[in-house]
Amino acid sequence: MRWYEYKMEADELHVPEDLKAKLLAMTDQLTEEEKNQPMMPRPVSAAPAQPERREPKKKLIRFPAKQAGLLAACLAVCVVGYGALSTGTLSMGAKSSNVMEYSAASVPALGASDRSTVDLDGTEYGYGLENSADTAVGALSVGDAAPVEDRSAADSTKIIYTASLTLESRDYDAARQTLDQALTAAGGYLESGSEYTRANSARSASLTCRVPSDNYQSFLDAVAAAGRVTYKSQDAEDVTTQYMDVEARLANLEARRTRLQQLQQQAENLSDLLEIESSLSDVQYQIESWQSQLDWYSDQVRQCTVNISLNEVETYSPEIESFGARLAAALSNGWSAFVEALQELAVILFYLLPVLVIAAVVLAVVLVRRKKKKK
Amino acid sequence: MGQMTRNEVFALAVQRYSDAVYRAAVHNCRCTADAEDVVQDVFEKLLHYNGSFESEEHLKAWLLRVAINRCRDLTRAAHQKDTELDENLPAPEQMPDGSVLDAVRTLPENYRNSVYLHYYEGYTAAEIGRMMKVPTNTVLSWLRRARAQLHTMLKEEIEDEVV
Repeated sequence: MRWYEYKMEADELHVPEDLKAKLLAMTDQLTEEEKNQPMMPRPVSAAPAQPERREPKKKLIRFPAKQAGLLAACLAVCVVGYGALSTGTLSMGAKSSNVMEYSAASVPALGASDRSTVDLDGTEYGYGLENSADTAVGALSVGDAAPVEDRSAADSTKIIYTASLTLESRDYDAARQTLDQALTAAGGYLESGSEYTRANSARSASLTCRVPSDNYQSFLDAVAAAGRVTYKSQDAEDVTTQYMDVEARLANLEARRTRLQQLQQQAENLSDLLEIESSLSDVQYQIESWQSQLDWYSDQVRQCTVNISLNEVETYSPEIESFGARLAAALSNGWSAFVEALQELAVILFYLLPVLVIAAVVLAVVLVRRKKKKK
Repeated sequence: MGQMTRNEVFALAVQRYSDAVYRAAVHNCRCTADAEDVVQDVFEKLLHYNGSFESEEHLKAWLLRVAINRCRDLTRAAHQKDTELDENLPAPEQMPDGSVLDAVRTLPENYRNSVYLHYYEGYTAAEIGRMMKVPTNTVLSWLRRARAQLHTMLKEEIEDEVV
């Protein structure tokens, strides 16, 4: 019989908080005299004994001779399972101390009104940048970037910062070096990177960097100084709610696990014990999966992601484009495209050269034979 | 030592035993709204109770006793009224979903109460007998029949237990 299931289901039942408050408010109906009327002797200890839940008397498990072997096997499985489980629990214990740290850090955020201001800052911040990036691509200077305000307040909220920058530089090597130095100085690391060289010997690189959120702004400034910024976008995603959500789920599951462990100790027969074991491993699995999500969030919050693409150019893209400049640009682009096309054609001809030579030889032979026949 | 005042006793009862009263009420009511009404009635009674309690255990037993009686009154009243069903009535919140608790709730009144008091609250059959004013052996047979019914309902092996 699944009595432990019944106990857990009944455990879930609680008087709603508002009803409790209503009940407590009921004493207002009483007069002062009634309120102070003695009703029950005060318990001896300061903390009145929580009425100990008396467990029903335990029944000895009968061991029918036929099933003794089976029972022994079950017992062995239980012992092994319990051993494995308790080691699992130990390692989880270490993990859950992490959770405590997180929640301790995030608790002040719950009631704090500064959370909303940070949110607002975050959004404004994003908008401003998007706008400036849209209206003046190529005209963004370093100073345009709104500074991340109030980093200390931002620490209590969970915000994932992501930025993308496109740079161009005439001195590719110097720019590349500056980027590397900036990354080292910020204490970040390169998550992924690729470099390639194009036909006209212009090189370009695309890098994904992870930087501690404390050095986020200084790193962005340093990156922007490495070359000319043609595009910049920043994104701040507030995941405080999701984070809290996951934390709450974890706390719930951990409470459930504790309860199950209690029930496990009180289990009276093998079938109960086995069912509790399976519920426990289920809960354990859920705890682990939520924990990994929590870890992912905190990693994303702790380390910002910055995508940088660096292009080597001969001339910087013009800042302001007048009609004449555009005409000139069109002409020069057209000319370079024409030249490039001719070059490509030449390349194709050379590519086909062997085939063409053979074809020419064959043609020549055929023509010579025809002439001979006519003669 | 000294005595706890009515005010203190009431606060203690709400903090510590309102959940137990609520659970007992849920076992006996169709929906949670009814159960909440019962909880409120029980504490209303405590507020105006003229006797005194010997101990916390006594207080708890009194609360559970009153709760079960109150539920019985409610069910009886509902039977006698026999009003027409209002079509706009919301559906009962807790539909049976195969859980053990739901199975227990479908048992006859005395069975489910003794199951709750014994298996959840941990009272012995003798104590339940005193609480419900029936002989111990009656409680034992209630429990036995309750187990048998649960057995057919849940199609599971029931480990008979010496109470």
